[in-house]
Amino acid sequence: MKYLLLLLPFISSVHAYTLNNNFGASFKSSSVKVFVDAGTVCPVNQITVNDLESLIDPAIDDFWNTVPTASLRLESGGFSQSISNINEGRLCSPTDEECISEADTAGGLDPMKGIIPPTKEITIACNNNNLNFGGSNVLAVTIPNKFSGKKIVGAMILINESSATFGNLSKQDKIGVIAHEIGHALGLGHTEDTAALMFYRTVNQRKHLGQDDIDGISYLYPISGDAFGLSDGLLGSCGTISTDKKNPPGNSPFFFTMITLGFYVLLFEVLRLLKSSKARSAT
Amino acid sequence: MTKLVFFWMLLVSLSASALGQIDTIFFNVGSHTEFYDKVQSDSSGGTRKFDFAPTLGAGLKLNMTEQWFFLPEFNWVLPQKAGSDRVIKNTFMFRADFGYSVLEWMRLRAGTSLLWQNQHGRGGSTNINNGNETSKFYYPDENRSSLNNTLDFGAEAVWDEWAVRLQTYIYSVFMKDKRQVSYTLFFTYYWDHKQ
Repeated sequence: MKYLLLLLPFISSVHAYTLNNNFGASFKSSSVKVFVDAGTVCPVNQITVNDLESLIDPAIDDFWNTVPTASLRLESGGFSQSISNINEGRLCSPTDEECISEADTAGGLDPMKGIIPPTKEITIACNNNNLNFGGSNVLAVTIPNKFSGKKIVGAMILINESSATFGNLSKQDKIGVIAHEIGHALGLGHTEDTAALMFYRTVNQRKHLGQDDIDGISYLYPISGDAFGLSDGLLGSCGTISTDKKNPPGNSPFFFTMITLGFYVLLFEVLRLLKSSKARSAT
Repeated sequence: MTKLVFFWMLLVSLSASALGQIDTIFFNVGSHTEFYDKVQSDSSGGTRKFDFAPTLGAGLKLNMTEQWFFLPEFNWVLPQKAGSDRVIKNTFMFRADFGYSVLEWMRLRAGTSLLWQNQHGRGGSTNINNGNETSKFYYPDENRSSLNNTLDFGAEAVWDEWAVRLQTYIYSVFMKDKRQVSYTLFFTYYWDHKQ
């Protein structure tokens, strides 16, 4: 046993996933749509709204929709109704008073520079307001900008139009950037693990989620009783199982375990009976 | 969790006592690899084929015929800590297989698992690069669990009371995009307590 205990230090890693707020916010529903603002323009990055929309499916299907331990199911929602100041407005977190104050002042002088109003679910757009990005080398920013209690209602992803850095990336890297930003929209923060999608820099060969990403999305959107992938319809899986005594675990996993194991015992008993009846008939 | 463990033990003891056939108890030591070849392991696109995640377990071997066995077992992937112990992950496997001896030294298994994956967040924050500056990001501060039922297949090479087993777990069999395969390599000791 003491030799086994010696192994324990080796299964500790320095890095871990983080969350982008201190209250573990996530979308209430595990089914979330990702839209492109229909009126956004990206002349500096030389991409069209159709180009942007075509990045959504691979960004969600190759990354976030691949985690069986998470109940999350992202879908492309196509184009959303355009927001008038989407291309120039200021994106502020609802708790960032400094940002809101600055945006109010700017919006008084030029309404197009005011705060971008929140939308439902996740919206992607291009934006040329330098104040949103803090530098031309920043590819994009994401802020969950509408909450209901501890739940995210809407999040906005803005691609930096003050430089052509995003437009110069390969298609695979653009997909990686969009997938990373969707991770922020879902509630995840950065990690220092270079293998993870939520690492703070882009890496050239981004093909799958890293372990940190998988753990993080499973924490924010846990699945309660996935019945071989059929749970959405059969058990109505709905996310969090809290061990907090105020929120006791749901019955679905227990129910499904009973069914599965009960089936085993039944099968075992049937086989045993068949065996004994064969033995009797032989004698 | 208590309810689940209690139910598992009840089922095993009921079926076993009814049959009076608990001849053999087995003990597992192994390493578990989650989501084979689907987890990026470095910044150059490499994927993880093997993970060192020590796993301990025990189970029963119930003889149905000379060739067929019923093999309920419990395994525990020892705690995996991350972020200077800010997040601790435990995986528990409640599982059962039907085993078939193909050859004297080889046994095939098919069965199902309930995989209970728990993450215990201890809270706190850290400053991480965020564009041109660092920003504060937060560690999780709750206990949350995911539960998955998997379809399992295994192959076991047996010599005397020892065995080496490759045990696979297929997640989300009926959902193509979420379908993943995890596996555990086990060394198993079979203890026949009647001998």
